[in-house]
Amino acid sequence: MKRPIPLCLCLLFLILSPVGNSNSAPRAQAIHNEAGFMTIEPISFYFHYGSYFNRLDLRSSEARIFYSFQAADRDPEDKPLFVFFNGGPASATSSGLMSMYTGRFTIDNSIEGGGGNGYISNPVPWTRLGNLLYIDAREAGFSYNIMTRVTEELARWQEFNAQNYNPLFDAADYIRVILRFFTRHPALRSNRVVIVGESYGGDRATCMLHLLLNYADYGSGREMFQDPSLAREIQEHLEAVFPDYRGHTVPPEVISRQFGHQILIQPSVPWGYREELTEEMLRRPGSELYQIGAEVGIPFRPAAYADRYEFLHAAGRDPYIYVKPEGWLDGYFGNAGILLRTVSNLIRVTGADVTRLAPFYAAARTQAYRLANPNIIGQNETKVQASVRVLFLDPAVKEAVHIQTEPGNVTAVFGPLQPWDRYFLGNNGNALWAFHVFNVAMKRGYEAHPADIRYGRMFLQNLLSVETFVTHAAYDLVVYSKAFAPSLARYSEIVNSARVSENPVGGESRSGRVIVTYRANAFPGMPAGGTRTIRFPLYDKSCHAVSLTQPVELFQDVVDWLKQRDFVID
Amino acid sequence: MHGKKTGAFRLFRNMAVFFLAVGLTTALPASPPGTAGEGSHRFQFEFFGGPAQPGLSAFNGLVDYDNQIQDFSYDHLFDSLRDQGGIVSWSKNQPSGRKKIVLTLPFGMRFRYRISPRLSVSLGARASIGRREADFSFEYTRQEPLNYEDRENVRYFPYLLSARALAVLAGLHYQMPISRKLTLETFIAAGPVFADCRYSYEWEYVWHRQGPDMDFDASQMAGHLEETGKGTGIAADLGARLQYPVLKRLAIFLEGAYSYQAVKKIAGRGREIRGDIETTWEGRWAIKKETIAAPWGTMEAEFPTNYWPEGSTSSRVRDFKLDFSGFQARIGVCLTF
Repeated sequence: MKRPIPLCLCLLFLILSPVGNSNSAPRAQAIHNEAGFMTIEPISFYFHYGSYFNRLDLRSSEARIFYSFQAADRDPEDKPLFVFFNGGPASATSSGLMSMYTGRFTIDNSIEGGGGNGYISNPVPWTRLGNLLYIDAREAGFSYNIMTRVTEELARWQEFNAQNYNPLFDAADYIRVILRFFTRHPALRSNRVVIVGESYGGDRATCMLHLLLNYADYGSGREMFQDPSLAREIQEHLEAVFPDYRGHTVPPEVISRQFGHQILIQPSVPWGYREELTEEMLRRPGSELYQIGAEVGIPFRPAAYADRYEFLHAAGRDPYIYVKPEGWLDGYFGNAGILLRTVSNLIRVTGADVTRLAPFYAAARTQAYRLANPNIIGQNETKVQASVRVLFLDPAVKEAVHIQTEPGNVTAVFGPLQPWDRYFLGNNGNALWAFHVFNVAMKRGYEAHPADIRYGRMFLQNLLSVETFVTHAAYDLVVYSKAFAPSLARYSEIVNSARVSENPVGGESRSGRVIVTYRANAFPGMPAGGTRTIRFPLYDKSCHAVSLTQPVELFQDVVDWLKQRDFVID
Repeated sequence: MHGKKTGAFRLFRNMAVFFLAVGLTTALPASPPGTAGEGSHRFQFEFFGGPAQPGLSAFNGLVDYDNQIQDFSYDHLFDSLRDQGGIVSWSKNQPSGRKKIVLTLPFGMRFRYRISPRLSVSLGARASIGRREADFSFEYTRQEPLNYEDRENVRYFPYLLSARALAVLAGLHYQMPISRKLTLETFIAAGPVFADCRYSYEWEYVWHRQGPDMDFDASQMAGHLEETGKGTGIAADLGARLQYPVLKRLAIFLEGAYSYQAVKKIAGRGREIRGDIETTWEGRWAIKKETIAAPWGTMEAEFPTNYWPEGSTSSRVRDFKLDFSGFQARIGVCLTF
């Protein structure tokens, strides 16, 4: 007989032996649903306008960024990664796109007033198309920051400033999360990425793609924003994906093989020109504001209202969906934020057992902060544009009641938090204040507000390398889609024209394209761009959150668009 | 090099003190006027010093550059913000500012050997030290609508420019009496010059925001910057002097000369600390051209630096010269033995 006992012992030894060194490369994880917090260490970065020794140095707080990953229904290793985020800035993705007809579960759009008391199965889950990664921005949703001196209110106020809140660093956070997620999931590392941003998410997508495609310029001093450690991290990732470029700067046309698609749901970009044009267009006789005035019996008189928000407030209509009463859309976001604070709902939506996440627990977040002062949320400065107040600060104030006492059972499950910490914030009013009202980068003259002209230029430059899909929601007066193409055309130093074409192509259900024609040598050192086409389908009954109001139509258009770009759809 | 006195400068100082003491001791016995340097005494030791206006314009360009940057980053920005309605008004408070090196006090010594009644040769050394140190601060206040006020205060403690040169000169001197006691002399001298420079400042920055509902330091920063360099060049003097005997072996003289002292190749270390991040580098000094393109305007400036990071958009436009050249007036004493 052979000697079975030693053989069994050998097998047992092999089974019990550790494989690899736990201190070496990050442990690869299998591809299944997961949720977690990605730690981003304090990052040193700076702004400059070409004078190195006269730069604005900034150093961020440590952040724990919440993410939820839903694996594709089939063959996740071979599927693209859809990266979802909402806008604000500083608004939650968890209560936005993650809860609104993209993942496997959703709030119910057929129930008025916020979508009901629980989550239902999504008839059009994007997991049919690929893997989904939802990311809550720094200090929004479930993400939270860490600091020393956390008990000092003034020290907390100091953290709500440019070192944590500006469009480019916000985008850098997202890139870091994506790249580190790839590092932990080598099986997905080379897969194509489709960025899906809503509202301000359009600006974030613009910044992310510009940072990725031109990463070397963001570490070499060529760009206004300099984040050398991010440039190195991107280089490492690209060397892993494109080994032929080891030791060399990878050009945009190569990077776009992975980061070459964006789906933008009512993107705010280009914010500055679009805002100007929106006000101008809505003041023309016959505009939606005149129609609303006739419906509600309050005639719209342009001279009587500072901007559209004032009139819509007087008319009692929701600027995100003007056919509905004021607060309609916020009701859905707010309700999702409440539902997610019941842990069973969060587990259902993410498909992951969040009770196993140590960073969730109060014991792990004694140095965490979400608010400078829990009694001052959003109303701490009166000098803001009406749009900022109506869209961002007021919702934050409305949410305050749920901030003072968090609903659901998160506190019971994870433990009571410090007064300045919270499990969930749909909109972080303090962060919004830092983005829009006061941050030293903006005040020092750096283009650190999303309305600055620079971001439209970046969008147009990205467009040369990135296939783009932009929604056209008929009822949205916040991101007024009719102003999108004209606002691109305002960049006359870059484009000859940007026009909408309604001609249907093939058998598509919803037509619409924006055709952008570039000037020769529009960007220094870049080849003449010629023409680029943005898919721009019309959603005739949709609000700002297109995935909420017309989810089936959006899904079908995305499927068709991806198929045309050689994505394999099951 | 500047933190501690270098060996060459220390040796030079000690020698100067020693020979001055020896000279004075030797010269103390009274002697009839007009006899100094005559007879069988062929050796002469001289010690001299006096003010000079050095041609350090390139190095002083750092002050111009820093002033220009301040003007662009604050005054111009605030003008632009005010014109666009972003702020109501702004004001500036700056009692003093950065200082240039406008004067040095060269001092030196030389040994001379008389090879004929009218002709002498010499070997000597001369140090030129220019240093301007300024503790100063400036504060800009901007008034925003609804009674919000932002104050930016920057303090430098100190802001320092320092440049030093040590020239070792071999000379030829021709002298002739022009009266019973007075001697006129012309001379020419040349030799190597060893120079160093240092540009540094410590700074603190505080942004204070005040309004109806807030009053706090919104942002604070601090840092240190220094760039140093040293190199070797050529020095040459052409001058004339009048000499008058006061003791048997001691005379005083008044000297005027054009002194060329320039170091064209100068390199050294740099160090910057911002917060908890320290960066160091080494590089050759040259004139850099910076173009600052901001939304409120464009500024072009040229200044000397030894910082040349890879991939920088700033360009090197020409060599930097640490130039101490200029006319010098000196008074001195000479001792024969």
